[in-house]
Amino acid sequence: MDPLKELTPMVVTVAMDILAITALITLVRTFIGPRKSDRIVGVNMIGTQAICLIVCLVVRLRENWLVDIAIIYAMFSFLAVTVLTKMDIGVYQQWRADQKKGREREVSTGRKPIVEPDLPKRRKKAK
Amino acid sequence: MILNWIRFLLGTFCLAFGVFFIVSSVVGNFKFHFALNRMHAAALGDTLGLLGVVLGITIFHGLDATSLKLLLIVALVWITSPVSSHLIMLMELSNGTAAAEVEEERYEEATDEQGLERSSVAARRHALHGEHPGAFKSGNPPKEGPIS
Repeated sequence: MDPLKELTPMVVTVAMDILAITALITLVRTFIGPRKSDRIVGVNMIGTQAICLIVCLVVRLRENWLVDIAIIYAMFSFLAVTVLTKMDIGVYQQWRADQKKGREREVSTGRKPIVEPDLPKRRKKAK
Repeated sequence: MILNWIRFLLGTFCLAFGVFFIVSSVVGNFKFHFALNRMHAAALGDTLGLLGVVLGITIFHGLDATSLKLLLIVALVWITSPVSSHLIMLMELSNGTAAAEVEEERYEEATDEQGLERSSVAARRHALHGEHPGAFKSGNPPKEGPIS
């Protein structure tokens, strides 16, 4: 018998195990990331590792159509990152525009601009 | 027989190469402190990690229409990954004042841990940035991000 027919799925399975563990660790990083950019970087990395897992499944399960799913997954991962970042940049630009004509608006309507990005508070150090 | 063994060993080597780079990208994602540094580690996994895994699987699978699609995935990710990195960078820098303040605070903490002298901010900047102590005055970090 050819031992390679048993060895090849074993190697691919070990690689998939390691990839699954790294994806879980990256999920932890995504949870504890202090800023929004850290979370988006984590999501991007999880997308790449999921593409690697799907590609490994092509040999492990001997199903060729899984490659198409990997291509679509890559496109959707890029779309997710693009939409999230563009949304945040748009929110920030709207906030800046509101800040620029904030005085007139405060005089006219008597309230502050609604949209605010999450600016981290600066901690004063005792020296 | 020999050729099959060579193919198996080559594929295993490529797979191990890719998995090693993905693991090192995750380690780097935990070791760095800023999002702009973490993007560097994430790009490592996006380029070399994906290339290694896909190349190993292609060698296992054999030359086929499917293997060409596998290489298409690499081309797609290599085109889209710098674009997404650029967008994340723009998003991080669009909060210009916030980013500068956080950086300065973290730098102060890092230098205090290393036990450098606390009196002069310019000396800290010199130790961390490699700038000359009198290059620019402390206390006025860049006010605006590149997007205004």
